[in-house]
Amino acid sequence: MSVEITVSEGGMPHNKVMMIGLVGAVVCLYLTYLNQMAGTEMFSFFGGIAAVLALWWGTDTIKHLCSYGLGTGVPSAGMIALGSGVIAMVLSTKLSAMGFVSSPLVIPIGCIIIAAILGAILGYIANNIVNMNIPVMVVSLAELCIVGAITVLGLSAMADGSFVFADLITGSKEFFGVAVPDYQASVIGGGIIAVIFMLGGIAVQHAFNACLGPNESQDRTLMLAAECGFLSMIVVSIMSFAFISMTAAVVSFIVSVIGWVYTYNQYLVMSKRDAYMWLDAQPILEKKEA
Amino acid sequence: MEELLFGIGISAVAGALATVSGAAEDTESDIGSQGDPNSQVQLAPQMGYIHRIYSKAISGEPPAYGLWCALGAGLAWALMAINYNPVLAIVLGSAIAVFVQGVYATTAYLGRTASLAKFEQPVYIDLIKSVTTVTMAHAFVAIFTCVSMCFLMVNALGHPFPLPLLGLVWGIALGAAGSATGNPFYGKERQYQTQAFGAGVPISASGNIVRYAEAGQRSSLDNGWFTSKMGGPASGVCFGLIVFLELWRTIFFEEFAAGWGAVIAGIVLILIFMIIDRFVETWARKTYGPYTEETAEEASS
Amino acid sequence: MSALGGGSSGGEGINPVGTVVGIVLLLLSLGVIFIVSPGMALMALIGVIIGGLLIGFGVHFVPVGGAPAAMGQSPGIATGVTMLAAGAGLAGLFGGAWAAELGFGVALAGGAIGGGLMMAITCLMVNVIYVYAMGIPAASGKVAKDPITGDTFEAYKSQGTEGHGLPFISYVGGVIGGALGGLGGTLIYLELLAVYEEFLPTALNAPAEQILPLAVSMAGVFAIGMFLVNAVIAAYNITGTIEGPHDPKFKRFPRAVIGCAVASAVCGLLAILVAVM
Repeated sequence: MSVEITVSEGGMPHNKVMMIGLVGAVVCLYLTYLNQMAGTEMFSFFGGIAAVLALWWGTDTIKHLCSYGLGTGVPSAGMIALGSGVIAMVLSTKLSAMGFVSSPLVIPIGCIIIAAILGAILGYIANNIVNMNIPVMVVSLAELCIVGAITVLGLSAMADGSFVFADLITGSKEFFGVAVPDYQASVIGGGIIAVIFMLGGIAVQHAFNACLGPNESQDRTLMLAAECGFLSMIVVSIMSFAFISMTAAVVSFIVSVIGWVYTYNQYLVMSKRDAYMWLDAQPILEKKEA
Repeated sequence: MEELLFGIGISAVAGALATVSGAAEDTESDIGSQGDPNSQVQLAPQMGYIHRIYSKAISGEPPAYGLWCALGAGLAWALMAINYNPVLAIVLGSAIAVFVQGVYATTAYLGRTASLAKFEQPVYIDLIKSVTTVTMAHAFVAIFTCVSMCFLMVNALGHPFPLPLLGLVWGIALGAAGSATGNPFYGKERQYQTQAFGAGVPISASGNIVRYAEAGQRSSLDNGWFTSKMGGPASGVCFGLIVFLELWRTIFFEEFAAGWGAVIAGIVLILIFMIIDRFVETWARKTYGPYTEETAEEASS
Repeated sequence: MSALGGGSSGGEGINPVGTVVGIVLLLLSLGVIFIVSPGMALMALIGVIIGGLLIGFGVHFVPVGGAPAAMGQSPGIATGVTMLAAGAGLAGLFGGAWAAELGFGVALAGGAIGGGLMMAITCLMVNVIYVYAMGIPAASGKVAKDPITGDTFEAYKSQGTEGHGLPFISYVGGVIGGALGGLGGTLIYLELLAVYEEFLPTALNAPAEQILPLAVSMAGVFAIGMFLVNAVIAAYNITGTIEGPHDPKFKRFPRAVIGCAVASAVCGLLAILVAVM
């Protein structure tokens, strides 16, 4: 016997969530590029907001996919999203250095295109080679791969201030008081990208996994997704103290905390709204026999 | 020779840290009721059994612990990069990782229980207030020891992976080992205490978990005491053996046969464990005997 | 609308159209690498493909019981397929990465043994818990006799359950699965590391020793990512629980092997292009 898992009807249609999430995330990623244009690092937190929008969108995708019957559980969808997304993301950060287009502005759009192709191929494999035969599998895995790639790209940009490959692999180390470039003290070289990978992996599947049940409601699930995103932003902003200037990191931290407190509060309000009863220090309320 | 002794000493310390980590991990996941046994806690209201158990539906333990340990290690790495003392960095990193774990725990409980409103399962706020901090405390022990172990591997033993990546690797391994060893003990012996000892739970009893305990209504807090009787130490021994033997066989035997000595040592160890397992299995069959009389056909084949 | 137990796991047997398209994609990836940078990068991609399909194959050996196993209702380990395989494979990757400088063969063997050793210890402790803490002997639900030891299971299954614990065939399966997973993950890691050590110094204009930590990190993260992708595809093939190599579901492995090979080819192509282009 297993738990009855149902998905709610109604709410915002999935395509609308996808459009808002995708367009919003791309806009926020380009807003981080203001860092390079203005010569500062203050706009790094927009990368985190892009990740929040991507996680918000990805939660609805997982819900959409599971409503067609997945059979093996929700966390694996998050793992495949991030596992493929991180590979697509690192390749796309190198797009501006490959010799076709030299402007870094191609990176966010390139990331989405590469991730979409990779996700579609993985969805095709899952559907037609492993015979899962779920109608929306190809589209959903393509969406999830894009979500994973944007999440890693956004949070890496938030940690490092830029989404260009050359910046993500070079950090600086103090050597007798002089700042020396060091590959080991960077987001990719130091392994911080592994932390971001796992942050995204848990965050993208947590909202739907935690709100599963007959009374699941889309607004509460999506609010939890945003809360997970802002929580990830808080942690990444603390890690960004090692890469960007102190004031920029503090700005990121404050933005993340404000966002997290708001979404967490809203989530508590919605849970109280949806719960059968909201009891404090009460005994077990046995069901009355009908 | 000195280097060899140093290496073996560090392996011993890492093994000890891993043992503590495994024990704390299993205790934490039983107090918070995470992973596969939690499916019974979620099923209970559907079958009509209202409960006051903390249902932490985060994901399995391996990815969750992969995240907490990677976070602890990544934050420690970042703090060390801005010249914090390593011990302070690991403590702060683990503390912030535990904060994230606590938040995920509360949202998981609220989410699942609110979504079970159809089955009349109320949300008990006092559970969040009392149990969350206890799970966070045990998680801190697990994360801190795991990150310290990874730090020793990087800085004292010279493993090429950077600290955050090692945190991820060992976090997932910790969750897998602790989950595999501790879940059946919690699931059958604690949740289904009323079922007969020495047999699995029949499918007809699904969802009928223990809700009224030794004194009053069962609270998840008591699961900590229970886990520390056997499940916790067993998980600790499991993960501790994994870490210690992996490090010891590499450091001690790697000079022999240009590295192949460690491989041969590993194969010997696997065979030893296989023999011990076979002994355990046959002991159980002989001592406990079959549940029903074996038919003549089976006995003769 | 139900989420679990819906319309998945359609059709046993290999889907010919899907398989052909998959193999075409695999050959396309090899072709792209051949055009861009033949020689070492091409060998590396072949190595990555082999590593991926070893992971996909190895996951089928690991005995996973899921939620019912946590109550002593079905045999196997009470964890999810993907993550148990990932735990063993990553423990193997740890050992393999450490032995990387000693040589290719040693590192691969080290990775395999690391994964196998982790599963050996974990499976032993699972049985110890079942036998000494719960008083339950091991019994399989899918076969009447253990293929290796000849133990009979019907009388040793408690009433109302489908078996419990880890019979010896499941134990051996677990060790083999861990070994194959560790082998596959380490192979992917070593191939990517070789590509990055070869191509990144020229691309970034820096000496090789400085590049080494960066190459290790990138190869490590990509190896973990690809491991998870392959493990999830294999888990989709298994659809939930499997008792080990004696389980009838084990015969499904060719589908997962082909699927993982194609997935590793495409992901590996992207990972190698990072350094080569």
